[in-house]
Amino acid sequence: MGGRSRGSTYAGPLLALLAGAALISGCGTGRPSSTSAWQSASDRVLGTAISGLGTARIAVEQERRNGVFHTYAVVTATDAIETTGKEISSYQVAQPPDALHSANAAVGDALDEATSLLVEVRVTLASPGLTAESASRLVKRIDALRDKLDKLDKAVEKSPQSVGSR
Amino acid sequence: MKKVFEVALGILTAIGGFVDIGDLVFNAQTGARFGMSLALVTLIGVLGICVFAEMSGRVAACSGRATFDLVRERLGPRMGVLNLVASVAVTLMTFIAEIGGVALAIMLVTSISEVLIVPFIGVLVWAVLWRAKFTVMENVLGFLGLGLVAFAIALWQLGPSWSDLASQAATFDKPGKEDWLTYAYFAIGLFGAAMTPYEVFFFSSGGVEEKWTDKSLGIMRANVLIGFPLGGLLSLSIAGCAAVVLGPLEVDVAALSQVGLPAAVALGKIGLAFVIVGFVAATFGAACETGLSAGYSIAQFFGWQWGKFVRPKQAARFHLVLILATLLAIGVLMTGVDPILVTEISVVFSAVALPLTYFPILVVANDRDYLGEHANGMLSNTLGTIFLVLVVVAAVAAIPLMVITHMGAGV
Repeated sequence: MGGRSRGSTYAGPLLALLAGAALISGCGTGRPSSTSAWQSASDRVLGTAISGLGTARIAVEQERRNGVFHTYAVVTATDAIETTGKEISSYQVAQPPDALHSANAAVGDALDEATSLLVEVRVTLASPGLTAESASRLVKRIDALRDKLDKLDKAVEKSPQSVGSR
Repeated sequence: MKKVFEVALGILTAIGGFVDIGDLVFNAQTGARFGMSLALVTLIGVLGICVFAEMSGRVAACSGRATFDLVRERLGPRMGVLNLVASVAVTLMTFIAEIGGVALAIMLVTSISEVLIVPFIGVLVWAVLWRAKFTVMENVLGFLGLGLVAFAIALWQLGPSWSDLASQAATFDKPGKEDWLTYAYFAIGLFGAAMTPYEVFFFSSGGVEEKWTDKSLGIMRANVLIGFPLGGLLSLSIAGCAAVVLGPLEVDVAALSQVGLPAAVALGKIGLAFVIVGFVAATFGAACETGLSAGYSIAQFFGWQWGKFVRPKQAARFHLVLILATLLAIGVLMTGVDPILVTEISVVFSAVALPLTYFPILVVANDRDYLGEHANGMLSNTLGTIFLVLVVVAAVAAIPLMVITHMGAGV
């Protein structure tokens, strides 16, 4: 009993202290993150998008070759959308550093493009299904976008200020 | 002839039953991201599980009693409780992950959301635990789990540069873009997945269920020393396939559907069909094993009647634990939590619980009152002590690495 009341006495101040420390260290929503934190978050989300597109590429190729069950290909594409979407959502709620708003917007646009292409892959796979032509077109677009995201990722790492500037 | 058949059956089911959802996920993830550079960790983990499974199997065969039964008696209730809490918590987490894994595997061919499948899987697992004979359950699921051999055939069919894969495995180095902390996190994950605590509880309690005696030591050792390493080769095949197919496309494995893709690339629909059967059997088998292990641990600790070798009515409290564990798993998975995330967490916490699981086994296996002339010799004690040091290092590093690397996403 004594232990329990002591625990309750300390729990409030302890939580307040932790929340205060989190706010001071920049964990509060709305506070700009540091450049390095933004870089690693951007690297992670771009990596996830590249991974999702790579997964979709295999699904499309195998569906075209009739090497995979139709349902399996659709589930694979759906999983790719879900995984990429989750990572993008958590990236988008973070505040970028003040000097990197345009870079953040450029990354955001590229991620939107990736999501749209993944959705298109899933929709095409699910119905009406792939033709040789549509598969080849999708693979080309996936490769081009993967290449673009890869370049963007490298730019984010090397010179984030240059990303998104015209 | 009967003996040969018995040994062969044991080895085959040990191979088929070796891989579970943790092995599937972590091996595919590490293969895709680190190539074969962590293969040595898998091999060390397999050797570790062989050492402790052999010890716990020997304890069961020579004393006729399972590990938990003796841990409490030998080390006292305090150490017993610590061992019980750590092991049951991790085993229940693994049980949830395995049921989620079955649902994900079935979703691959039905496209029905795993949340809707989970209750049926839960009831089916419980029905098997309630009704099926122990040997039938173990042999059927172990055999079907051999579908995962398709990964080994797929790897061969993919025709990778074997010297390149071997060189990656031998150099113990990370790819340039990855950091060492993430590399260490995955190393601990692989080690934890290979040495999951439930495997030894299930193995020793299974020995009691199958009425092993000291005459069964040969069969038991064949299962462990041949079956487990061959099962470990399946783990390496999964990693190899991921390294060859997913690695070049920078695919980061986050879903079970991605794990099976290399088999489809190499072998088409037939290979994929075998792999899916293997997924279902491996996860379903592991769900049964973890469910039983949770029941075994609790019942043995409290001295209740346990096991499938007695009628459910005689082991009512043991079966009640199985029902509650199943309801807990269904409840957790019905919240929509990602089973892959549960798997990753369960594997990391397995690593944390390893010393509390394996230290008591080492102590009991040294006790001549229980094992007589079959107590640990020099080799078992040396290997056991080396692995105990390794599991302590893994246990201490697991959670900090999980936090720092954002669960392997990178520093």
